[in-house]
Amino acid sequence: MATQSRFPRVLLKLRTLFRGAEVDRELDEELRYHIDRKTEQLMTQGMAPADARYAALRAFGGVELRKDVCRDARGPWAWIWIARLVQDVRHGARMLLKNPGFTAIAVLSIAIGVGANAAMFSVADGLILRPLAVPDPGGVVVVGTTRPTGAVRYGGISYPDYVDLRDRVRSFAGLAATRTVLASLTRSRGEIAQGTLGAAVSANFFDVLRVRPALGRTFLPSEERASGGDAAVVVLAHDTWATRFSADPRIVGSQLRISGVPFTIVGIAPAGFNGTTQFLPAAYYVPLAMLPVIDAEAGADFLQRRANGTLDAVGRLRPGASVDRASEEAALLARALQQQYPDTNDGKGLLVRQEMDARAEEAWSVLVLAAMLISLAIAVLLVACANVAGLLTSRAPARAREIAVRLAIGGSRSRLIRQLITESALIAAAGGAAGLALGYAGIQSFRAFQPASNVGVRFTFALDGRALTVGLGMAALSALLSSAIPAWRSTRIRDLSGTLRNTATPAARASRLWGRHGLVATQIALTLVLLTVALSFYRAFENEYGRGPGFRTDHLLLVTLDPALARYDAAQADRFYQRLQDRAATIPGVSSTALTSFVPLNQDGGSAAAIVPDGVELPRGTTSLSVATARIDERYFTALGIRILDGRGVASTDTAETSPVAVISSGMAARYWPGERAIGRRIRVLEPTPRWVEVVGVAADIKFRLFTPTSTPFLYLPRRQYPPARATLLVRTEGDSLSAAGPVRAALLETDRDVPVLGMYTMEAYYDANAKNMNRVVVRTIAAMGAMGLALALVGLYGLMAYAVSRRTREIGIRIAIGGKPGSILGMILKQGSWALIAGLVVGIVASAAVGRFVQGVFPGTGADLVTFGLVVPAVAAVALLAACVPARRAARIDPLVALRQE
Amino acid sequence: MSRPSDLVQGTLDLLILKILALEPMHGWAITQRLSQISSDVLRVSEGALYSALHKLEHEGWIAAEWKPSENNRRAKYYALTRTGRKQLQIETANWTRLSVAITHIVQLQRS
Repeated sequence: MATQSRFPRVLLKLRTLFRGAEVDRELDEELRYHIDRKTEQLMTQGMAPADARYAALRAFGGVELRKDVCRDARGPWAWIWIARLVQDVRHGARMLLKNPGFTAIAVLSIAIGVGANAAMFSVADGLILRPLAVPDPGGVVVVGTTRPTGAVRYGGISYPDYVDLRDRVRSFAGLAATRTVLASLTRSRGEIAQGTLGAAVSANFFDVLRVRPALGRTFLPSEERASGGDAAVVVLAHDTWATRFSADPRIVGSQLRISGVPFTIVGIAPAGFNGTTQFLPAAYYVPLAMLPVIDAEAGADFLQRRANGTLDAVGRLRPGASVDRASEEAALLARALQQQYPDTNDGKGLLVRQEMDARAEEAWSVLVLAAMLISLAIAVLLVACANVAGLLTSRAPARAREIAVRLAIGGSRSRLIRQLITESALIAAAGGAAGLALGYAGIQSFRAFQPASNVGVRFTFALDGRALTVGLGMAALSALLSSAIPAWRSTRIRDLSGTLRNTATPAARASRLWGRHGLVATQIALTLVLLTVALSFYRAFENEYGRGPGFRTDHLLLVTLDPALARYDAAQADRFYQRLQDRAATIPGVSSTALTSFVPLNQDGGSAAAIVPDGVELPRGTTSLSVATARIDERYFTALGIRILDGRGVASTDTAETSPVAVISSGMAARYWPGERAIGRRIRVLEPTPRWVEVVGVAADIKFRLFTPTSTPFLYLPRRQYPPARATLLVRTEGDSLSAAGPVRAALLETDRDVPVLGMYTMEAYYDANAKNMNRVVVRTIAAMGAMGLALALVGLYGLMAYAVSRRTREIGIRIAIGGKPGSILGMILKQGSWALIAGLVVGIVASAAVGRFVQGVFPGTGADLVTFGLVVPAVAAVALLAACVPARRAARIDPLVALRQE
Repeated sequence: MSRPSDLVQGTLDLLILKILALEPMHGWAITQRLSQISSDVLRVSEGALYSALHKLEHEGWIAAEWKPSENNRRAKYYALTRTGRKQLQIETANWTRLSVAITHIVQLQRS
């Protein structure tokens, strides 16, 4: 009688896999039993016990070896599974190598898709998505300040307000304050000063963010408010330590100079941590109390002043507290502060947001740009997947027989599907690897794209762990997407004998063709969207820059200086500039020099002035307007070639002793005094102390900021009446502007070697970096994705047509044999392909219009218009028809004799 | 030839299944039975027997159970399962076909 197994097979396998030790013990016992019995038997035959045991063991032939063989016989499931996988992979690789053309196109398609995604993700990550380099970045919150107008700003908090927030909002587990500072960092007095970004932080900054120093310590609570030398301690960023101090661990405890003041290095921040401000990586951290010492502009009463807050507050919540609750508490506190300190806190509200939410809110357009780049990359990947799916489907009839044979001899369907998916996974793996290489190359080219920043503003694009994960995830996704449906369909063979005899039913053929037409139509539609978006961006940029920036960019050298970093006061700074200009004028080849606090298209952010134009009604809830401003000298307009349309420019006679004057842009004149003459009007400039200035001239509009209309108001103030802390020396040269760089630097060192040079560029390089490069990179990226999409769609269309022709070879042969003209055959085949093309174009136009409208909403000036469509649609149609023509012509030239003999 | 013939590959499984079809047995008893019924013509390496047993168990053809043995020690008894019984029929049929064929060939060469 058959025994019912005590362990069904599956349980036995699972037991082997998970209870290996127990199974091994049982094996031991079983074999020992055998040896013992054998020994007994030999002993009854008269052997001595020891001899008998030895003989028994020998007869068995190595007990340990046998145990291994038994374990192998058990064949744990995992091994069988792996063995099958290896078998599948081998078989798949053989199939792929047998069709090198198919494999190459499929791998290349996936590579392009994955590469585009890895590169775009890394760009998006560098622009906005990368979380703070702290443990649990999702738990970090920031405090924003609000105005009655509803404007929100993350930051702008005064130190007393920060202390109240920290101590009175119970939801905070900890709240830290930080502020970006710019100061020179030197090791000794003789060194040429170089402006470097750092952060002044509250003592709890590192603890709140849960950042532990790589070396030494962070700040002590007593150092936050200590005065003078007690708090002259600095924590260096890991990068600074590695690049400027060659990662010497003995550096801790030694001294360096910030703005010429000696500081003791007490610690090194961990690698990868660059503070909490995006694009403004801190090279060093100092206690807040030291801020007035290294940055004269901050003011000595910085820790006591409630007005004009400049701090960012970052914190973490108590366990169980919600962001909303914290925000409510902050709002309550803000109301209490408004009543208690109406002079400084009137109208100032407070709110709390998750750090990433605040970032998205502040840089909404960057977020949209990032989302758009990623969506475009995903569109490219989808087109690539459609391609591979199409290729696999077109191979289906060829493989249908192989599959039918295997099904007929009892191959299980799941195993077959698994095998087909393994093949796609191999394609995806090869494509993914090639794609990451492509992505890496792409990212390297983005690295070249950095704003011309004087102080170390930078974007970090890297094929880091995050981008790699995305790339690999996309490769896996593409494997699934491109294989699941063809695999499912090709194993769902209803008519087994028909397939074996190679007479697929027309219905099956039709449904397969319909699926492929759909794929090609989708590809064409996506391509159209990619190309229209790319072209509309290109046209928008052309509109922005086609007419030039409105100022001269040739024969100019820019030298940005900050005497305040050498702790000069305004009068000293003025004398310094005067000496420097006098000296620079003597350099051969230099025709003139000019000074300004702001160079147009500056990426470091310009200064804004709060003003009240006379007789202009202000929007409700506001007491002043904010306009971009530059503090310039009398030679500025000439140096940049900006025309004065009315009145006069700034003159050398506009000094501290004469009545204050201003020159305004023609856009500003048109905005506040439309249709009237602006000369003689008055503007109340509120800072540094409120006073009336008289408009004496109107200057032509120039492009002073990217994506800002040239007609945006701009205010020019005389440098002698409004002394700037930091200024750029414009050196106009007769010959090549770069050749003047050396002599100018020498002149600077002779004048005063303590004044840090923040940057030195030729105007051409500056303009390229800040205006043209950005334009080029964005347009090229989008256009490249459009081109990739187009190439992939063409391959798809070509594949469809070639497939259709190959399926109909016999029919075409008969048609030609009975007198069909090549022209009519060509037309017949093209007609078949044109349905997919037309459907794709129609869907693509509708989709492009929708996408274009959305893009236009975020980036004014872009958006698909008729011209864009007029260029893109015929181009796509023409190229697609060309791709369809190749196989169609081949069909028309079919030799009927060969075609009919083929089967 | 003084040495007992080696087993034709795959026949060990058949022999084990056949022996277990009579009654459940532990490994030691199987070796005894094998040499007994084949009059020592077939000698199975004792180690090979155990790997074969484990393989058959994992194929689901035989099932094992720990039971007290004739000398009162725990031993692992193997018994034929339902699928094992079918497998025995298949293998018996295969063997018959194979041996008939081989016998034919051998006789052809002699004549």
